[in-house]
Amino acid sequence: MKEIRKVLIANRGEIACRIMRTLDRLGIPSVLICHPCEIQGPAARLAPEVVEIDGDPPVSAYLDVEEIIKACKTTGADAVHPGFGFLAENSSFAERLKSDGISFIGPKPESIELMGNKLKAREFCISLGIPVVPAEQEGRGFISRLKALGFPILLKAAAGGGGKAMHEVMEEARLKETIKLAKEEALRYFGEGSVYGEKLLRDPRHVEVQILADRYGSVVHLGERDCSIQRRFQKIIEESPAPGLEPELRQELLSSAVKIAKEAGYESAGTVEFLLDGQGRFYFLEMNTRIQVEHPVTEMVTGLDLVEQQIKIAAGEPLFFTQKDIIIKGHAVEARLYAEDPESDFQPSTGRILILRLPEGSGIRVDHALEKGMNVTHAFDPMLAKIIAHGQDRQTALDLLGSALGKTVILGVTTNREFLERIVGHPTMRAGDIHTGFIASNNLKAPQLEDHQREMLLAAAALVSRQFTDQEFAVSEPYAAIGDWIN
Amino acid sequence: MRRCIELLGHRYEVSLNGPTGKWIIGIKDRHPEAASITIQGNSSFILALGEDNLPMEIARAGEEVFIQAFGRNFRLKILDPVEQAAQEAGSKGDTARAPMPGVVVETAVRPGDIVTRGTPLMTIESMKILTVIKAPRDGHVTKVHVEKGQAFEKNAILVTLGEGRERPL
Amino acid sequence: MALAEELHAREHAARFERPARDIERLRSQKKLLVRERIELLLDPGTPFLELSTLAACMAYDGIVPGAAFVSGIGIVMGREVLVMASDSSIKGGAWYPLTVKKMVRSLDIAIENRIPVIHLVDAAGAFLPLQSDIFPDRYMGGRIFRNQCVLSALGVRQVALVLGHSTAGGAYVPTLCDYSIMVRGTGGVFLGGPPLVKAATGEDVSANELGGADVHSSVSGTADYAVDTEQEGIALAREIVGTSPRQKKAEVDRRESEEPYYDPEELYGIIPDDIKKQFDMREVFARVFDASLFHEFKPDYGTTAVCGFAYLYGWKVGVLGNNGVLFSDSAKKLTQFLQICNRDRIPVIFFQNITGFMVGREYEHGGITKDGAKMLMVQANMDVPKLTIMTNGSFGAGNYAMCGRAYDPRFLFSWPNSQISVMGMEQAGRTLAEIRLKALAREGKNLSEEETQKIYEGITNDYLEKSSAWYSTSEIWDDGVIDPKDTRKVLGIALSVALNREFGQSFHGVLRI
Repeated sequence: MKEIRKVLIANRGEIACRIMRTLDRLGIPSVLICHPCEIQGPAARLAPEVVEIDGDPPVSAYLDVEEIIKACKTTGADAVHPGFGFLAENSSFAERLKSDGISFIGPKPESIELMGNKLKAREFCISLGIPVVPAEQEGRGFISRLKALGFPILLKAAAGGGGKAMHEVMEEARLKETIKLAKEEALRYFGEGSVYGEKLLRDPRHVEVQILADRYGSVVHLGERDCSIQRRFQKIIEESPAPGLEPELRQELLSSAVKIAKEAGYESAGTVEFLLDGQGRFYFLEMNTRIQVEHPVTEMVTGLDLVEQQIKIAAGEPLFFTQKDIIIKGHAVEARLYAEDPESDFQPSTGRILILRLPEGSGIRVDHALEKGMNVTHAFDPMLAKIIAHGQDRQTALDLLGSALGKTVILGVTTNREFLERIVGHPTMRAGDIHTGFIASNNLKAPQLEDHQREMLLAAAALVSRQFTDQEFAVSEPYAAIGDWIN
Repeated sequence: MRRCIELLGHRYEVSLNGPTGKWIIGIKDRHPEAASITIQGNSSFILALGEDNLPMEIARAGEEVFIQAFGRNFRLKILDPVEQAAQEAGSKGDTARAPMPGVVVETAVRPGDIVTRGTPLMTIESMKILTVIKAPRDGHVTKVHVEKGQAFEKNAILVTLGEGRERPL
Repeated sequence: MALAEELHAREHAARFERPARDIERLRSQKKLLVRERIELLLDPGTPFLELSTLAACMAYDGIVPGAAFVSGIGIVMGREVLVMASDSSIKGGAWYPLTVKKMVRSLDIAIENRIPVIHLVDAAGAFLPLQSDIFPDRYMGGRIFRNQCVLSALGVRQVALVLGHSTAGGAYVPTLCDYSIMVRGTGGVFLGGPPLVKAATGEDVSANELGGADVHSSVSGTADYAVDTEQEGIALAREIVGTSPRQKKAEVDRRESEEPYYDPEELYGIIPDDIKKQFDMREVFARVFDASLFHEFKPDYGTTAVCGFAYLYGWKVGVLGNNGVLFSDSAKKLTQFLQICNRDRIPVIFFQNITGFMVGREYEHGGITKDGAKMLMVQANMDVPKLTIMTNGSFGAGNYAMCGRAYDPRFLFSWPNSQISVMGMEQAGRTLAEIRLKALAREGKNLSEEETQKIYEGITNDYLEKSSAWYSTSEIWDDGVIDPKDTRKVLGIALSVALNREFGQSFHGVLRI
C-alpha cells in the first residue's frame, strides 16, 4: 500500500475539473498540466498548481510523456490521473511512470496492453467462452475470408478506439480501397496500421458494464449503461440502467464483464462493452481500461464516486463494499453537448462563447469546463459539456434532461443542443426503442422554419445590430414621412 | 438601413427604418411591420413583431447574431454590402501585385491551391520590412510569378488567381 | 387632372421609353440602366425627388429625353445627396447643350445648398455637332468642372462612380471628386481615348490599359477604388457616403409635423381650366401646409396678395401668394412681410399666379414702379432660403417680384398648367401680330381676313407653346414640372435641402421710400 499524496492530472477540460473536484474533496493536492493556449481557461484557474507544457499542435502537450514525468518530479506528484483519451490507454506511459516510481491511476500496464489490442482482447474473450462478433484478422486470404464473413463489414484498427478509423464496407466492390483507407488512418491515429474486419451487426444496441476491481482480486460491477445513441460511431446519449433489457440477458452481461476483469487480473475502474443484436444475443466488443466519458450516469444511480474509487484502488486500498452493497437507484441519462452542427453532418464548429447559461437544480449534474468569453477552437475535442439528469425512473430522468437542455443557453458557437433535445423528446427514444442506428433511422432533422418564425429571427437580428439601428444612418424628416415616392 | 441577413443558407433583404423605438421592419416581399425589442437582462430579450411577442436569447459578435428561440438555435450573419456585391458578382480581382519593390522571402501557395480572400500567398521583404501578400478574393492560384529569392519591381504581378473556386483539372 | 396625367405620361416616356436596341446594348455590356443604379444607390423606402425630368423634351426633336441625364435628391445612408447620373441608354449618355445646362444647374443647386453629390459617370462625351453650344461660354462645359472645384472648396463631398467611359473634359468629373470608384472592364477615364491617342501619337493602346480601373487605382492614382461590378461599386459608394458626417440643418423654428387636413388631390378642382380665371391661393395653402394651418399677415390690406406663416413638415415658413394683380399696397405688404421673414430666419415660399403690376396713370402717380422696386430690392437681397412654385400665370415684372428664376430661389417648380411670358398671351399675340401685319402692309401686301387670322393664330400658337410649362421645363427654366398634389412633398424635400446651408447674413439695398 502506497499512499497517494499529490496527483498530477494529465488531461484537460471538463474531466480535469471533475478529477480535481474529487481530489479536493479527498484532501489530495492536484497539479494540472496545461498548454499555454488554455492557461487562462477554467481548468487551469481551478487548479491549485499548474505546469505549462508547450506543444504544436496543442494536443501534443497532453501526449508529451517526457514533459509530464518531468512535471511530476518538479511538483512532487506521486501519482498521475490520465482521465480519458490522450495517454489514458497508453501502456508504455503507464510503464514509464511505474519505472519512475509514480503511480498510474488506472490498471496495470499489462491489462492496458491486453485490452488495448482489440485482437488480443478478442482472443482472450473467446478463451473464456464469451461470445465475440465474428471477425477476420489480416493475413493470408484476408480479403476472401472477409467475403466469406459476409457484408456489411466493419473495418477497425487493431490498436484503435474512440470511434476513430472505423469504416463500414457495404459491398465487395469497395472492400480493397476501404482497407487501404482504414490502414492509413489507423497508422495516422494510432501509430500502427493493422486492421481487422468484423461482421457489422445491423443496428445493434451498445450496452456496457462498469466494473471496479481492486488489487486483491475483488471485482464488482456497477450495473450497465446503454450507449446506443451514437453518431459517427461516437456516443452522444448514455443512460443507466439500459431500458427494457431482459433480466437474464442483463445478468449474463454483468457476470461476463466481471469474469473478464477477474480473469484478466484487472484492477481499477474499467468498462466492458457489448453489442446486442435484436435476437437476445450479445457479443463482447471491447474493454476500456479507463474512466469513461459517460461515468456520471453510473455515479448518479450508484451514489459512488468512480474517480475516488480509482484513486483508492491505485493507492492499494481494497474495495470496502461487495456486490450486494451496490444498489442501483432510479435512472440517469447523460447528453453530451458538442460544438458541432448536426445539420451539416456533425461537423465541428468553432466560435467564442458569448453567452453561457447552464442548467442546475436537483437531479441535474453538469460536467464542463466552460466559461463566457472562451474560444472554442479546432485544437481540442469539440465536446463542451455533459448534462446528466437523475430521476426516479426513465421517463422522469428524460423529462428532467429535456428541460435542462431547454434551459441551456450557449450562444456564439453552434452546438448540438437542440438536436439532443429532439432526441430526448422523440417518441421512439421515450419508448426505449434504441439502437446504434437510432439517429440514422429516425427523423431528427430540424423542422422547417415557418415564415413567421423566420421574420422574427430576421427582425431580432436587425434590431440588435448596430448595422441596422445606428441613428447615424437613420432617415430623417421629411424623407421618413414621405417614404417610398418619386415625383 | 438595408442589409442582407443570412439565415440557414439563405439570404434575406431586410430593412429597418424609423426613429428608435418606432422601428418598421421590411423583409423583402413582405408587408412592413412595426418591430421592437426589449432587453430582459443579460442575453434575454422580448421581440415584438406586429401583434406577436416572443422571448429570445440573443448574442451578437460583430456581424454574427446568435439566437435561441422557440427551442432552436440559429446563427445569422449580417452581410457587408460591399463584400456581398463582390461575392455575388464572382469578383475577379485576379492578381496580387507588389505594393513596393522587394524580394520574395517565402511563397505560401502553389498553382492549383484553393485560396479564400485573405489567404497569405507569399512573404516579401522590402526596405527590411516583411510583408505578407494576401489573396484579393476567393479562387485558385493559377500562377506564382516569382520564386523565393527573386526580386521584383513595384506593381509587379506576384500571383495570378483563376476564375471560380474549383481546382482546374 | 388631365394635365397631371399628361405630366406622368411624359415623365414615364422620358424615364423609360427607349429603343430595345439601346437597352440590349447596355445589358450586353453588363451595365445597369441608370434608374436601376439609382435605386440600388438610395436607401430603400425613401423618396427620390427627380429634378428637370422633362429637360430637353421639346428640344432636338425630342430624341434626348431628360437631356440624357438624371439629377435628383435622395437619401444614401441616411444622408441627403444629389445624384447626378448620365443616362447611357440615350445616345450613349452624350452631352447635348441642355445636358450641360442641366449638369451646371445641378451643381449650382449643390453649391447653393451645400448638398453632397454622387456622380454616376457613363457618358460618351460631348455631342460634337453642337459643340459651339456646349463648350465656350460661361455657363457651358467648363462651368461643370469649375462648380466641382467650388464645391470642394466649400467642403461639400463628391463621390464619383465611373461606370462607363469618361473622356476628355468628362475625365475631370470623377477626378475632381473626393472619392472615385471605377468599375473594371467598363469604367475608363482618359483625357484622350484610344482613337485620339492613335491619331495623335500613333500609339496603339487598349482602353483598359490606357485608363482602366486598375491603371487608375493602382498606377496613376487618378481613381481611388477599383471594383469588379457596378453593384459592388454602388455598395462601396454608399459606404463612403456613410463615413461622412450627417448634415447639420440651419436652425429654423420647428414643431411637430402634421399632414394637411385638406386632401391635396382637391387641388385639381381648385386650379381653373382657364388661365384668366382667378382662384384663392389660401385654398392651395390649405392643401400643402401642416394641419392646413395658415396665419395670415395683414389680411385686410393689399388683398390681391396673401402672405402669412405656415409650417411645412414642422418647419416654420413664410408663405406668399397672389390673389390678383399687384397694387402698391399689396406689394408693400409683401415687402414688409419679407423683411420680417428675413430678420426672423423664416424661409419663404412664393406661390406665383401673377399677371403683373397694375398699370395706369393713377397707379404710376401712386408710385407703383417704386413700390415694385422696393419689393425686388428686399426680395433679391434676402438671405433666408427662397422656394418658388409656378401655380398658374407668371407674367411680366410680377415674375421678378415673386422670385422668378432670375432671383435665385433655391428651387423653382412648375405646375403643368402654368405659363410664363413677359406679358399675357392675348396682349402679346395681338401686339406681335400687329407688328407683323404692319410690316407686310409696308411691303404693299394686302391680306384677306382669313390670312390675317392665320398669321395671328400662328403667332399665338408659337407664343403659347413657348410660354407653356413643357417648354419652360425643357429649357430648364425651372427644376421640374410637378403634379400639384405632390407640392407638399416637393417643397418639403426642397426646404430640407435648402437648410443645409447656414444663413442669417443681412444685406440691405437702398429702398426708394
